[in-house]
Amino acid sequence: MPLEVKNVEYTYSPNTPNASVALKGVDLTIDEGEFVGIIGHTGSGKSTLVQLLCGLMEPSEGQILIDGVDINNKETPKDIRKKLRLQVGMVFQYPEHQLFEETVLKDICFGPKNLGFNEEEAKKLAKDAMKKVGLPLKYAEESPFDLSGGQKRRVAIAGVLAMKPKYLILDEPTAGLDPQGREEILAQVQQMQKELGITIILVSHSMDDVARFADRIIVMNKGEKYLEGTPREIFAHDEELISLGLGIPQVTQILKRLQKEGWAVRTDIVELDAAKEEILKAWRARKGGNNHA
Amino acid sequence: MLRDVTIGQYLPGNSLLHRLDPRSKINGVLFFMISLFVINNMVGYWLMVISAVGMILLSRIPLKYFLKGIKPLLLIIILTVILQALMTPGEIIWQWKFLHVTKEGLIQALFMGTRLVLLVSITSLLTLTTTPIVLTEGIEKMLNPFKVIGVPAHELAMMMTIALRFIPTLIEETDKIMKAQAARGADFESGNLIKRVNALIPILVPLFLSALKRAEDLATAMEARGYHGGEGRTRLKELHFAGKDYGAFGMAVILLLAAIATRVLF
Amino acid sequence: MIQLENLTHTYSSEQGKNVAVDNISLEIHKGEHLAILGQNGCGKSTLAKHLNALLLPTAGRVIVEGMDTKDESKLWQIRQTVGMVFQNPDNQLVATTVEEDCAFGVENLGLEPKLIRQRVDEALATVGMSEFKEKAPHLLSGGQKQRVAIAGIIAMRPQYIVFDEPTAMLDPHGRSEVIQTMQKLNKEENITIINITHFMEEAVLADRVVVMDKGKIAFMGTPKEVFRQVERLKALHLDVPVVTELAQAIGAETGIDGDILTIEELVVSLCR
Repeated sequence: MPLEVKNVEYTYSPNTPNASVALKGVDLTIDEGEFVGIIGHTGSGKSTLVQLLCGLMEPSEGQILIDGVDINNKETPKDIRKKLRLQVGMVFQYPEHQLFEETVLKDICFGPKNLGFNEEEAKKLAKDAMKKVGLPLKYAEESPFDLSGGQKRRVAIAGVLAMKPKYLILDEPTAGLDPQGREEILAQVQQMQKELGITIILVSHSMDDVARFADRIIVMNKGEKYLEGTPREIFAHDEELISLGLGIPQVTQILKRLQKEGWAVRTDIVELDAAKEEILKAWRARKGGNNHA
Repeated sequence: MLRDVTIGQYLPGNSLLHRLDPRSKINGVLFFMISLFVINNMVGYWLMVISAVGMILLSRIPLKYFLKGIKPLLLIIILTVILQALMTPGEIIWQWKFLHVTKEGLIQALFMGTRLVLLVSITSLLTLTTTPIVLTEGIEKMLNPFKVIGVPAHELAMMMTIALRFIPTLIEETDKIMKAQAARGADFESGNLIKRVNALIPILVPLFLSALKRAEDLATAMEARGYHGGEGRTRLKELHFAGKDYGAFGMAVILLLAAIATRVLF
Repeated sequence: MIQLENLTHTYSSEQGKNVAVDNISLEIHKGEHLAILGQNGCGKSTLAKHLNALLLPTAGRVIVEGMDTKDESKLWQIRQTVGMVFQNPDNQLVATTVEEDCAFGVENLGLEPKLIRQRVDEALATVGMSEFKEKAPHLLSGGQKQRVAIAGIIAMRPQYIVFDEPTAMLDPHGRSEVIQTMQKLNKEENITIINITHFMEEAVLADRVVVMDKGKIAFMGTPKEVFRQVERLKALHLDVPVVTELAQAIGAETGIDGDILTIEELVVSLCR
């Protein structure tokens, strides 16, 4: 069942001189099992949007539906709404800043316990989650604060994953990590989608990161949904993206540049290997052409 | 949004009161308060009310800001007034069962109410016309002479500045942590007191850790920028006592003398 | 010139000893733009803190313009010579307005208020933050906060500025604000820049790149010399410019050089 956003609007500090519209007229549907990338500037409304998706805030106008049920409808009993809401897991930016327990295992158990699982069940869920994020079980009894930055982040992600969400929102999950940490986290996220069937919503500033993994990209700008489509469809709008300051993946940029020089290359490629083949093919053709001349 | 929170209640402006040196203003408030406790009759109260109204007019700050300052204390003021009215012995003018109001009581109640309202208004006037940072500087300068008896004037002022700088940052951070824990199903609203206090642990622990980290980073950054205490340090904005400040000081002294005079003469 | 002579820094704790910087010798020349590249935990931040005596060597020496960082009488002079910008933009701003913060370092030097005012105004103009001078720091964006931090340093007139991962917590917009400011200071104000980073996009802009691994210098050279060693960088879990990687992948057949760093260079070589 999908996650639906219907004509949603959000205003911060409404009815005051400081009122600011963060979202207006946003419509979108996210299907189960998808890998969706949401990209936009700071202040584009993407953070507001995802906080509405997981029910942390209520839209000023419009609805958020999970499996067809409005998560903010007061007529639905409170506990049912909470259960529904928690089907959408949210990993905030720098999630390691939310760790608080003495041991890794206890910290990961926090979510499941809030859902009403008993000690045993919670521990089982927590251990499962540790495996899913690639944290060796030997860390279970250690203090989360003694771990490295990348590992802390995994503990925090496991803390959300242990609640078995159907949808997982990750807000800039690679912020502040070095290249190795970045690759590891992104690979893990992709694995969660492929092997566990969790719907992933990845929020990022980086077109390079999003382009490699997402089935579909949503570009936010000034509180509105600006573009939506597959990475290839999105990159066809390269000039608009550059004027928004978002840019396109480097590989795509290179191909576009070559095309401008008159090369017969496709420009909807994001992977390095594919680009290599494409450039070599064109290069051979050009060379062949020159020889004939 | 939480980041709109302002500390203190400074209202930008360019009136004479805004431009006074903070030390003159703090001094003025102190003299006003002393005078307020010196007076004991109608003439004295008129003197204080008129000078307070005069200063408020001089500040060009709309009256509603002062009312806003009084509002949170309204209950206390009303209670004091009622108690004064009921408890003072004297000529009874109204009686119901064991409760009685006396003429003296009414007058005392009126005096006490006026005193409290003036007290709140005049401190509001100080914070409305002075930014927290300038106020801090004024306090530092005024405490300086007490350094010889071990009052850490510079350190206190630096602590206040840093607190003012970081309170908005920490409020924003609290908001983020609360949201992150709410996303993990934390419930801050239901349950009994013990449950609610327990629910704060997932917020307080991360907040405390982050504050410690910030303190450590800030200390390093301050050291790297050559900070070595107040010794030999100068300021971008030095406080200057100008003619108007001597004037203000003179007015404050005159007010106090006048207050004493009302008590002696009437 | 800053000279590191057999610099070693060992952290001791209950768990044992950890050699963060291991016998490094390096000369940093005046006016250059140096990048120190390495993954988290390679010792690059520890090294940075030695450059203005925030840390002292456990073995070896650091000499800043002829002053040994161990010489306590030179401490404040060293800190004025070598400024430092840190990673977290929030945690290095002290005061409640932009201009007061910018003044903080100069105030510590004990200058006349008039001179402080002049330096603050100049510094804020250099980083393009003059119009924000009355604002409270918490209302600024990450990139703006970092620029204020830089202004606070340049107001002290240092000859060197060490940037310790200044863009790690910023969005792409903030990142480019900081990088542009950094380059401007190097080119126009002739300030020596030492940028500690794990972003190769930033290292490419330097005159010289030092690659660190496990507390030692793995290798160094100009960006072209460093980034053509794709395999070696990858073994250290560092990023390589996509352009360079692509150029090398097609190099065997097309005959283009393996030290290409920009899209322009690649396109020009291919079209030749």
